Amino acid sequence: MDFEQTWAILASAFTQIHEKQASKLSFEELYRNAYKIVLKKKGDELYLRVAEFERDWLSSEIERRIHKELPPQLMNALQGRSSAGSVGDDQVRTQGERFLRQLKLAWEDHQTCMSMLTDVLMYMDRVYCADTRRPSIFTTAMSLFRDCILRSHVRGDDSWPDICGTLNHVILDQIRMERDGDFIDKHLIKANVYMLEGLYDSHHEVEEEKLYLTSFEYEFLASSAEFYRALGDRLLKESDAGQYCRETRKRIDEENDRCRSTLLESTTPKIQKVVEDELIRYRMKDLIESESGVRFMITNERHDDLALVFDLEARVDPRKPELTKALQKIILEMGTNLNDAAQLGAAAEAPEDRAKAPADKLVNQQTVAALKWVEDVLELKDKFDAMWKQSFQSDQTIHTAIMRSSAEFINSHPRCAEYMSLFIDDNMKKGIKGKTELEIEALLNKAIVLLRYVQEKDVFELYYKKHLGKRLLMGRSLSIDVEKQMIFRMKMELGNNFTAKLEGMFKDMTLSEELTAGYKGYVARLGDADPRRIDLAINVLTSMTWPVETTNSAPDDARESRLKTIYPPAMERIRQGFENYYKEKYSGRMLDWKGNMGTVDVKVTFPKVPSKGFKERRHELNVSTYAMLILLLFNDLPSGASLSLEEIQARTNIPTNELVRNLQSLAVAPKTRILLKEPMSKDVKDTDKFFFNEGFMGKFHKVKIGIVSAGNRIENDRERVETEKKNNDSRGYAIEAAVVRIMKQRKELSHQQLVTETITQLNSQFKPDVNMIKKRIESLIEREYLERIEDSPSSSYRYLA
Amino acid sequence: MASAPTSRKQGFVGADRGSSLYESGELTDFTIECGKHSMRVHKAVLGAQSEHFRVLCGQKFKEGCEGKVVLKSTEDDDADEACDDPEAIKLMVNFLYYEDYKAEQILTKFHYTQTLRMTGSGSSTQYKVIKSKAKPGIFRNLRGRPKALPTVFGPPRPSDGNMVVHARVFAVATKYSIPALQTLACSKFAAAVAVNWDHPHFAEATHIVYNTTVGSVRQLRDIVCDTIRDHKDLLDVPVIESVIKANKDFSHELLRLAYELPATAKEGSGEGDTEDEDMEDRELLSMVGGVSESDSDSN
Repeated sequence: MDFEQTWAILASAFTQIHEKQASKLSFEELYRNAYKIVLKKKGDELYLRVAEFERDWLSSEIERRIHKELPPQLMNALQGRSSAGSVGDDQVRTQGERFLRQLKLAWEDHQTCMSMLTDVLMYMDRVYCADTRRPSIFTTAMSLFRDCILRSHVRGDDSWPDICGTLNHVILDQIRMERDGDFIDKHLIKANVYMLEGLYDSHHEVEEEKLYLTSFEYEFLASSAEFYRALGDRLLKESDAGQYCRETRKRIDEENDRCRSTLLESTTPKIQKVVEDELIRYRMKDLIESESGVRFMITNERHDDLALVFDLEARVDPRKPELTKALQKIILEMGTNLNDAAQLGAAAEAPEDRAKAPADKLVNQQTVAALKWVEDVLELKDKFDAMWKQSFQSDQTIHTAIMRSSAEFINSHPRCAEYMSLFIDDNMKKGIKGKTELEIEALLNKAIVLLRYVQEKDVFELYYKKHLGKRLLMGRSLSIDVEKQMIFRMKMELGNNFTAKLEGMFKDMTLSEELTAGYKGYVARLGDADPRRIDLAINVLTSMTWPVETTNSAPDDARESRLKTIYPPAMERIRQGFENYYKEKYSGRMLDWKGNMGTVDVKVTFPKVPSKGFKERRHELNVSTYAMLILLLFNDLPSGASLSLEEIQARTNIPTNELVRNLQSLAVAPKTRILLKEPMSKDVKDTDKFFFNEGFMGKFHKVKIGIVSAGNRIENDRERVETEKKNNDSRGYAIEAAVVRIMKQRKELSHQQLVTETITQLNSQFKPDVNMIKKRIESLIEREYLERIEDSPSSSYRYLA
Repeated sequence: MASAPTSRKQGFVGADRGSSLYESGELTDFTIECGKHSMRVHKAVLGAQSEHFRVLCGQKFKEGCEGKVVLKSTEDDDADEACDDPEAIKLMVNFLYYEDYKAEQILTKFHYTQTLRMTGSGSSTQYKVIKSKAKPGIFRNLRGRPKALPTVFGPPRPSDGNMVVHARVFAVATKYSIPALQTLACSKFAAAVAVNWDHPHFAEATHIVYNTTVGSVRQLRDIVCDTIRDHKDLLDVPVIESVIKANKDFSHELLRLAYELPATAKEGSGEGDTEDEDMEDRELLSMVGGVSESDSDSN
């Protein structure tokens, strides 16, 4: 066999294949000849000849064709892109496209031809290449394309980038045009991208060595980063935050589309990261804090924009640090504003009006302000909750942030616990009137949610007890059912401990009803049916369960309160009667009568006053027990006679402050002036004289005479000091109890540990003050519950059983 | 090998309808001519089983467009070893349709040396002898590459004893890349050699084996080498001697076997080889590519 002769046949056929005239070639002949060469052990030579043939073809014919499409103008434009601007942009673009087209054509031709050559050389590939572990001739030919075409320099000039570099430039240039809103030939670029993907940087055919990765993608990402950095700058300056977000979204989508249609999908995550870095990660802070940022969006209820901000930041960081930070700041600010407004509202008009407006009015104003504060807080919360659902996809991190900031500003209001209780009180008395079950449900939920925020649960409990007590005793609750529901919810939220006493109050009320009925039966059985007998309804309150304040009078009256209130004989009889009945039922219990908390219906006949044309009028007055005692004094008095305050007190033993209050409501309040006072003024003094007002006119048969400041309202300063003191006391007990519990279990503990554990234990009730804990420990040591461990390095204690 | 091959065995559908598509020549779209044979065939049947015919029947080259190939026959040009034996081509086409082919029966009548005759006559006895004389692992991995080792020593089967035809069919199968036919021809060849190793045809078969395949295609060469090693007397047969002398590969392989080495030295199964091969690749590439510097010089 003559190799040269056989090869000549093949070589001429290969030339025809490259010239696209293969259909005239006989595959049988070519295959047979190639087969023969390999069979004759010239596979090695054949392989080399084919490679050489391809190299010659590529570096002469194909290289020439490609280089022809790279006129100096295009090369210059590509190089000087940054400074040249868009002069002759269209021409450069056309030239670039022609270059791409030529390269695409060359690549596709090369592939087609090589696949035909591979067909012809099938036997060589299968037998010779496999045996000697040569890369297939196709692979070798592809490497040749890379070396001869992509790595060649235009006109042999090394100062220009090689074809591969030029290709990158042209593609990037086209992408830049598309980013600027132009239309480009995506398929053309994609074809070239496929070429880069099909070639490797070296003869190692591994993924990382793909030319697309080593040559193009890197530059693409770098130039994109630059582009988006500039875009970010411009957008921040020129657009508002909403637009910025929309633009960013659009850009991200565009890049995704570009990867799909023009580049490779494997680039998608990488370019996304670039856009996210440049437009989101590095800009989020500026964006959120910008004038049209999150604050603006919240103020103007731009829910869609907020959702965009959220969406964008969530892309780069699941914790969304900037958005959460901004939200927290804004909530805190808005909350602080509410707090300030509440304080301002409470203090408003106070200085100038103090003279004419009674203290009560001021207090009422403050109560209104307190209720408004709670309403505002709820509104704020609703606003952010709605936002959370609508814009922030109910995200957990955001929720925590909102919760935390809300708790912070709510607790920064010193009287939040009292306000909350007042709010519930107000709703129990008025708010729920005419509301559907669902609405009430929602309201209760709101109350509970707010309660969740309050740190000083013990203070809240104190106020709630006080307010609830008054509601129950004065029958002011619109629905005991709703009251109980509220308690139930608190129980779910805060546990049994918290509601035990509150539930006790309800139990007392039920028991009292039974007692009242029982007593009625008891009296009826006694038989002496006295038509003038006084009906008695009684509430027996367990002393520890009910708020101390309601059952005891103020401390400065302590001395007086020890004096027994003097009841007129008719009353005294009934009192005795009930006490006997009660002792029969529950032996060993003490009853303490609280005149300041009861009410009495009194029938009064006002005489004819002919001089003024008044007829005789009968009224039924609903007054407090004390007021009843006062009024009864006037029964025995001749018309026109008067009693001084001192006289009244001496004859009734009513504590001074209660007496003053009752006299105010009887003699000062304009609509219920059953008594007349001399001199007529708003304040009640010791020397004032009181007359029965024979000329009283009431519009209705029944007249309710409220006791001044009997309703639940905001506390005045004195009361507050008192409440605080009481609260501190109860906290002291709670701390001591906790300390003892801990020490009993641990026997010995360092000071630091003890304090920490105590705080942990009590955290659900309130935040204990460290100094208070110290004092309590001292006191426990004094009382020999604990002792100091003498030779311990850090101060420690031991439990004494 | 469930239902699909069945229809092929029956000659491309047909079966109970009488003639198959191959026999009736219906729907054929291609003609294979070789020597005196001209066969109407279906491109799909050929292309499905052979990469070579897939290209040949495709539209890229003249044959596909014209629907006809003329395979250069040994009858046309005796000197060209790349030509095909018309009979082997016919058997190949049969195989493509029936998954089997039948060669003419060569009976064991004539023998070079009576001394070599083993006891008994008939194929099954012969088969036994070979088996007992053959060391276990004769076809074992001496060649390293388990390239479709024939399952010669399966259950004894009657052999046509036609070593020459099977060698030719194997050559065709290798040339036209029909792996299934390679395997079949190989096993038929092995069975035939087992029966007729002392037949004069063995020399011709040996000649064909060493001239129609390259050294890396081991299947038949191994059978031949092992047979000679197991029957050293064959070396004394003049025809065989001349075949051996005429072929350097053959001599070399036998020499290595005599020294109890694998028939071929170069076996790329070891992992340590990779680096060497890598280097070779690089050398070759630089030879091929000439590297771009020299390129630009020439420009």
